[in-house]
Amino acid sequence: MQTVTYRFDATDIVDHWRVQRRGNRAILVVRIVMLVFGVGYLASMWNVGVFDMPMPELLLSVGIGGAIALALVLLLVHYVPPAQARRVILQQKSLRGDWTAAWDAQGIGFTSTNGQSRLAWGDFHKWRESSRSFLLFQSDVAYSAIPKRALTDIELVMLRDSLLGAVGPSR
Amino acid sequence: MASVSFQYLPEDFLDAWRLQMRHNRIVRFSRWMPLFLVAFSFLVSWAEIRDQGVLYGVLLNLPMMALAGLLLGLNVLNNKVLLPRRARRFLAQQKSLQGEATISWDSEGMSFAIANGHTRVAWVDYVRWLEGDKLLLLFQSDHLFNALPKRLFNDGQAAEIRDYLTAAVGKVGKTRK
Repeated sequence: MQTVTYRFDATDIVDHWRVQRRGNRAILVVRIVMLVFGVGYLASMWNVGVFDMPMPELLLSVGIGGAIALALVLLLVHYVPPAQARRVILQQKSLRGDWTAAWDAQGIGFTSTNGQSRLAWGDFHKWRESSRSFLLFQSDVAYSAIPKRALTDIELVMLRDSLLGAVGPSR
Repeated sequence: MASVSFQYLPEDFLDAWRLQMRHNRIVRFSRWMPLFLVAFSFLVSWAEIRDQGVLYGVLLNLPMMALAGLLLGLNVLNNKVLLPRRARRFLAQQKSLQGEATISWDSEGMSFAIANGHTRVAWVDYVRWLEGDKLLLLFQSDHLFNALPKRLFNDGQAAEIRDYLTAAVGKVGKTRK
């Protein structure tokens, strides 16, 4: 049996969210709708003649609008998720303590300050990995995570082989 | 220590997600967004509407109204079709929740036991709780909650849990600082 102990930080949590959302069709639909709305709004502005203004004013307006849009995107991508992750760690006691993962040929167990669970490999719906973490999904919604920094090179290969053998390719 | 055993139903998670979404500011905002956008669009074109009439204004804002309708339709589709399907799919995928579950509680906190594990959370470790018609939602963080279907409890048990939550976390809906 292989056993590793680790603790999560805010960067791990952001990474988990990013990996979980990978390929999520609902998020893709929301992005497309937002884009369509943006284009629709610009088209209606064009329609009412908002853009029929002298070139310096037009450039200034477009520049200010573009800067606001860029600032919003930067805020949503680079500031909000880490801030949310820090808040979640502050709120959720189990995320502030140590976690232990122990696995063998049959399955994997997790122990935290709140409790413990043991799952057969066949109980996992899918798995994914990033440069930081392994995510083991019991469903599209619920997952268990193991930071790669907690694993030696050999443990990393063994865990990946166990997942490949029992759950199938990462998806 | 009081305890109840039960089996989760897809409706439990559907109710839990709906209750969570009803209290989520971003979701609430997105539901009102179509109306905001149409109103804003009409306001921007107010001068043309005043000069040329309401029918002209409606025609002028037709693209934005169509897009608002699309967003509204997506909201309804999500609530009525996708979310129930997601709840059924979640329970079908999540093998650990398909068997019998036991919830126990005392003055210190709640315990949850399923076939392959158990967890215990002190009342003071919850940061927020919500109550709907069919369930109580106990939040360990903004992103993790425990759902307690009210069909499991008699009135006295539900009142007892409410009292523990109010004493440890605060009023329903409020986030503990």
